[in-house]
Amino acid sequence: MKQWSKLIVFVMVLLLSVFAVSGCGDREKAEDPSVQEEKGESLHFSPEEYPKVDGSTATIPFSEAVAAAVMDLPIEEARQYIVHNTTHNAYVNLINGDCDIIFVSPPSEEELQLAADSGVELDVIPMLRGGFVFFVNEDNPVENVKFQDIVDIYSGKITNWKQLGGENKKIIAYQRQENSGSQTGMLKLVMKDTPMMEAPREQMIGDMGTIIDAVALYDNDASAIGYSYYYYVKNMWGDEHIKLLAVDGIAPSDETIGNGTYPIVSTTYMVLRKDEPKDSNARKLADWILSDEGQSVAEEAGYVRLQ
Amino acid sequence: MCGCSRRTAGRRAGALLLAAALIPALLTGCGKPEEKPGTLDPLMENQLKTEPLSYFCFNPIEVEEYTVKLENFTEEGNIIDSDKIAVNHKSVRIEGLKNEAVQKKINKTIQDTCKELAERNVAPYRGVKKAIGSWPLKMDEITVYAGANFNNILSIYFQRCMSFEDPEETNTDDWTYHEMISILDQCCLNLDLNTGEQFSLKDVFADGFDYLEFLNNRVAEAAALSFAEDEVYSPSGSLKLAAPFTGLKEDQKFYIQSGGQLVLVLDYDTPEFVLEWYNPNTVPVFYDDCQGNMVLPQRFWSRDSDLFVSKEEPVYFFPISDQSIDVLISDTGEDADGLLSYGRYFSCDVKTPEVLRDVLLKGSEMDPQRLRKLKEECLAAGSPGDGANAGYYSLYGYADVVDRYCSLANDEYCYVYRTDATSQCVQYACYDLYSMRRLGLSDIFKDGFDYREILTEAYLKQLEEAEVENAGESQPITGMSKEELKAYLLDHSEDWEQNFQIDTGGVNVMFFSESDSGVRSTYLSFEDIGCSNLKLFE
Repeated sequence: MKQWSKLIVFVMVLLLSVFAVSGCGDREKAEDPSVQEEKGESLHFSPEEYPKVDGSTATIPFSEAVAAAVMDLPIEEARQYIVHNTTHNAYVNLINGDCDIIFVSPPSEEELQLAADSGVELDVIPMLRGGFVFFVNEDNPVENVKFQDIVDIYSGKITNWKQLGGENKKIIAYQRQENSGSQTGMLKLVMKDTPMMEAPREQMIGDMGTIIDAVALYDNDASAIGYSYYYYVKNMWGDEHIKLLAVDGIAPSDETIGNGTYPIVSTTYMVLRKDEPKDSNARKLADWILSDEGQSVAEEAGYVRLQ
Repeated sequence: MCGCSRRTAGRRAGALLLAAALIPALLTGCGKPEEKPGTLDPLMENQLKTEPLSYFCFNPIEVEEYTVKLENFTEEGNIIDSDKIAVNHKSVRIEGLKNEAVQKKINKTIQDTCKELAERNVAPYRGVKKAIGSWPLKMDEITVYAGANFNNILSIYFQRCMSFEDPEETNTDDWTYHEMISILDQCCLNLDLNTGEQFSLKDVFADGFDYLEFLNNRVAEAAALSFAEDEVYSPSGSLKLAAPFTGLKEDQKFYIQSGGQLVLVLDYDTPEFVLEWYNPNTVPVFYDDCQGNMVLPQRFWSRDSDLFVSKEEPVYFFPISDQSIDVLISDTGEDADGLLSYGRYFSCDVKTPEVLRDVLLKGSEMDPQRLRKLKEECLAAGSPGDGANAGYYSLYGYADVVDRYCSLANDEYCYVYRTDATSQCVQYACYDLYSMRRLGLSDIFKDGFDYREILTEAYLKQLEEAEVENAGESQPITGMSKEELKAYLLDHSEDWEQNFQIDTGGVNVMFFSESDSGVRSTYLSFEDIGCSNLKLFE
């Protein structure tokens, strides 16, 4: 009898211990939803508490996915709280104190100067990887090019696919519009000090029916090569008709871009003012983005995590 | 060979010869001109098993706009009390279907759609809650656009505009104001007048045709035109991508315009696109770009359709085609001696064949006689001074393609600065793209129909109306009575027999190509002519 009693007491104590560890604390927190929950990597803000964000157009889906996760809202709802004013305007807003954190490419000389003139120091933190990719028609037999080959194509030194092991066809090397993000990326990441040749041009009809001479659009001709950022090409409708080229033997993928083995990578940053307090909501958001949970949210939104 | 055998052999030979002659004719259409011009692609098969239609038929129904709700607005659209919300909701109703039950059903559907739109919360655009926060609503308007009303379909586009006002005043040097942000929400209603049911995007296209692939191509093209994924717009496009375009869905919002264009509405339901100012983007798809695969005109209609109360003759028209143009010449300059300055602009529909572009460009050099006359007048008048040119001329030409017809226009204009004298020569031409033959008016009107009478009467009526407006200065030939002018026109009908154009809804005839002033042409719609009097819709 005494042994049974001891056993019953032991089981009851055991059960009570399990409840104490797993149940009560969460219920207390659930009863007070306004309290920020920092259990592990989870973060929660209400729309009113959410930091003022801004950024480039390319990071809008990322920003919305982050807001949806942190505000615990469906993305259709979270989206209504996010405004990105494009890269340069985001920097201006951050420097002027009109926003707290921005998601952008690294600051240009002009933006650094603006910050310096305003007495603002910037905290530039890498948060996502991006790849700069080259694509050809799916039927083009060329699968891989060397990095230098790309420079040579776009400087006009290589003009025929047969020089790269392909068919005897003149290369139509399409470019992007001047001052566009893709063209800037091409110049900074690939061409660097090597001048690019003249872009193929075509006549387009501008406003009021005038003829304008414009950079020709990529048309997936059998001889064409074009470039853009991996994010836009990866999930694009019709991407089965184009093929991404491997560069130096490495094909672009989430993995190779994330771990840096793909040779042409770019980084997307979050930028705050250096004087942003350590315990502010903007800082908490920045830390969360770099956490595994934050990076997983970015991956689900189609971006490549930092590795 | 005996006589019988010779006759038999002869008959056999004759039969063979006849067959040799007939078979090619049977295969090619008995000597008819080549059916398809080089610019038109062959029709893809579809399961509707009806001939493609190159023209549409107006529905003879009334589509009447009415006010559903008007509060704090005057009839002229001015707000009465700025402290209250101003509401103006419009809708439409139809009248004229034989089947009253279907008509009632349609009107109820329209009413319910308008009501549903009016009861919605603020449209869930990206950033909208950040933009307006807790700003109060000041104006709430619903407008209605009744688009396609042909071939037993009706397409209606509702748009609601909710305007929110920043309660804080903003002061500038010139005035004080409240910032206002307007949010647009829209819905589309596409109705089959046979049944009162709504038709889908899939119904617009032929059965079995991969319409989503086709439309995705169009949207991707439009996005590429504006280098959408970069933060820079090209002048030609306005679509901007925030995320990769992954393709449209079957429930994509759309409506059909009155000219037959399908319009895809890209708003908050397609968030991969960044929108300007909480307005939707639209992507048009023209009827003749679909190579026969847009079958809406024949899906719900046939010539035997009899849905309407009206017994009036059917009115046909051509769908509007893509407005893409090729600019052939666009320049300005001065002649060698600086006496004259000039401007030239020649453009054509992209579907204009090369041979007709050459015809058009014949007008890109000034007529030598007219040029000589202009120079003489300028020399006589002298320069206005300060090194300015004494005169100016412009040469303008364009070519439009409507169905199988290509209409050309050449316009030569001269001006002398010191005397303010002008002269102008405008010439039209209309070609059949199948035969490449220049047409006369007798080619488009049915035999036996007195088109000269109806055209001259229309011209005289227009002249009379213009005379009233312009105090008697509209006559291209002064001093003639109305009867004399008519007689003159009929006597000189060879001057204008080929001097006309066809557009989507009518015929434009140039009676007086050369004139210094006055009314020189008249336009008559197919409806006014009577479509049964025209060969265009056979």
